[in-house]
Amino acid sequence: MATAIAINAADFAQNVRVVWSQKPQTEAMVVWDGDEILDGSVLLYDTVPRVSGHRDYAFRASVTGMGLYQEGPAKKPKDAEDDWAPPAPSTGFFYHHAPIKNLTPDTVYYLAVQTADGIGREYHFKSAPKDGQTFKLIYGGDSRTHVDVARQINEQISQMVESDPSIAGLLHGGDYAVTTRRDLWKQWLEAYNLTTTEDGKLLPIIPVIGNHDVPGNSPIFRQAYGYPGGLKDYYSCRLTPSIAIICLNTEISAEGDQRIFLQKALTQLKTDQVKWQIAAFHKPVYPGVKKPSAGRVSWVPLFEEYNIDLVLESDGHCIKRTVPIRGDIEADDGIVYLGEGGYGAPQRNPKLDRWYLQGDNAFAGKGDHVMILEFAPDIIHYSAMLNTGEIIDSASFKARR
Amino acid sequence: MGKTQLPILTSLPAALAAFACTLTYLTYAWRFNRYSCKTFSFLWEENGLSEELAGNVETTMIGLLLISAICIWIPKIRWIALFGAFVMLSEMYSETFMTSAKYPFLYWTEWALRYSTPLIAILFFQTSEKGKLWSACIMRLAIAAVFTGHGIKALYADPRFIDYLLVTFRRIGMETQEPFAVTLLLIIGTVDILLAALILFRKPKRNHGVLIWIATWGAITALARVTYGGTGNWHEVLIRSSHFLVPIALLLTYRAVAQSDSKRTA
Repeated sequence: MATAIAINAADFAQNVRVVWSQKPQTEAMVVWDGDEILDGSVLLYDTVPRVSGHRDYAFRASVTGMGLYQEGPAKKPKDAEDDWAPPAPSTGFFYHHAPIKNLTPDTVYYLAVQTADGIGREYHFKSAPKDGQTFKLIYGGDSRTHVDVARQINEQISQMVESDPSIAGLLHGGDYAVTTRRDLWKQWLEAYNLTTTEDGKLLPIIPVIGNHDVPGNSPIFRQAYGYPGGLKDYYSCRLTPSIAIICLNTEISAEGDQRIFLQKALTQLKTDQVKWQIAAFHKPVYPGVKKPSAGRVSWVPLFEEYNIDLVLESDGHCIKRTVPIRGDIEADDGIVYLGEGGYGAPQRNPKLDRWYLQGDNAFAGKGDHVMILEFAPDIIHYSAMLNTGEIIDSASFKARR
Repeated sequence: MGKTQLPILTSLPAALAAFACTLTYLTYAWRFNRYSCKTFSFLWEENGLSEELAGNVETTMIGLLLISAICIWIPKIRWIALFGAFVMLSEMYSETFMTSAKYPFLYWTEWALRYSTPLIAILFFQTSEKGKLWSACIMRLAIAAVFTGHGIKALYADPRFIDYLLVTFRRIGMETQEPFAVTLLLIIGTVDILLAALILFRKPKRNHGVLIWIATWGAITALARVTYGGTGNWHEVLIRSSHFLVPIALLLTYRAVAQSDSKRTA
């Protein structure tokens, strides 16, 4: 059935994806691409499948933004001749944003894009889980450079999603493609499309911005994900009333407006007594390889003051789990910093002489990987999974609140 | 300098330039070992060199920096310090052509003193007046380049510059906001570019005050890395030691020339 629908003449909508930002229980941004502007296209959705018959979907969402992905600078390929010249702008590739609201948590929504030629393939996704429900979130960063690895990992994720209904979404730590060039982003978005199961189940993505996503003030990250953090690219994602992920932007001032936002967001989480408080951003503050990013000065004191549970980082191209850290020393009640990005970027050896990567409470290694976070009511189970399926590291974090 | 005959100056300016060279390169060697270098990333990530080979290049670069830091003090083999400049050039090349480069080509001006300091010191240590003239000329150009580069970055409201200002203000008990820092950077950037123009186009004998200002500002901005990130950021100060030591060296040179001129006139 899926194949028959996929070749429908109305299927001009490519890479249909669901983006979660501030309120994934009740809102989502549906984004799709096209080789041309799909004028007059709308998103149809419903809580029951409408795969056959009249396809009378109960709800429709208008397209609020569409346009040509902005072209970024070209990079000389490794095997290029000496007389290589930057190519002309890559072929037309257009985005379409359709926000949907008033969703019911933990509910399957069936959706399809309607164009002038008819209604396309039906997909489905589940809104964010109900409070207190156990579910899993996949975390990966740095899908750039080796898109073949990203593809392979996405196929692996698709199989996991198919066999494990508790996987709710994927948090991407930034650096989707090597440059902001349109054809490279197209490759990534097509690669992410491979997470979609055969029966059309979409894996919602929570996007974080990385340093490779901004050169030339490129808006391509915003265009690809429907402006999840507006024009500043940071936001607080209240996954459920008990779980919040604050997605920050390491490519702008850490201390200025963003620190004010972070403080306000953390104060709100404290007021709301949110059980699990997580921060995610691209450049690490306790890096496995490189220098600490500006968040070390501007954000870490707030993380510690508000006692957040976990920090997710990318950019270093290795696998890392620090010891619990508070006040720049190992402490039982400290914060663990996880990640460093292995979703396609080449992997390198972490610097094992760093104090926060040493001992039984830490891990450092390398390999193409993603991380899986299972949120149970009082514990988060974490594991780092290589693209071979091997679990290379795992740990559990007990609730503080 | 014009037609002024340079006297055989005391060796203090040369020693200052050499000291800046040693501090900068020793600190860079430490940093490369601790945090890795751009050349490694460029070779390994962007050009597909093996991690081992890129690591060997990095180790070689660390070695060259250490050797340069020492050789700048040894008369007969002082020229070896130019390898340190080569390492800096390699870093800049890598930084410029990394796909994530934020300000490609601006690095070449920003880092001008870091790669030209060995040459400045080598020429200054020479006994010939011509060598010293060249050295003063390079100092002048490099200082102007550094101030232009940083000035442009300030006009762009570079996020790290915003952070330096806001964190420093916060630490001294002044809560300020991002728009204030952006406005301040606009002023700082304009002044930086103005200073660069003065050092480049104004007659050297009228630039004594400007050089004092430049050296002071160079020291303040280098030290801002510590007021921002704490004493753990000491390396950020030392890699910028040429930003205040070289202007002092140039000032001493100009003073010596002025004294020599006045004696001749008398």
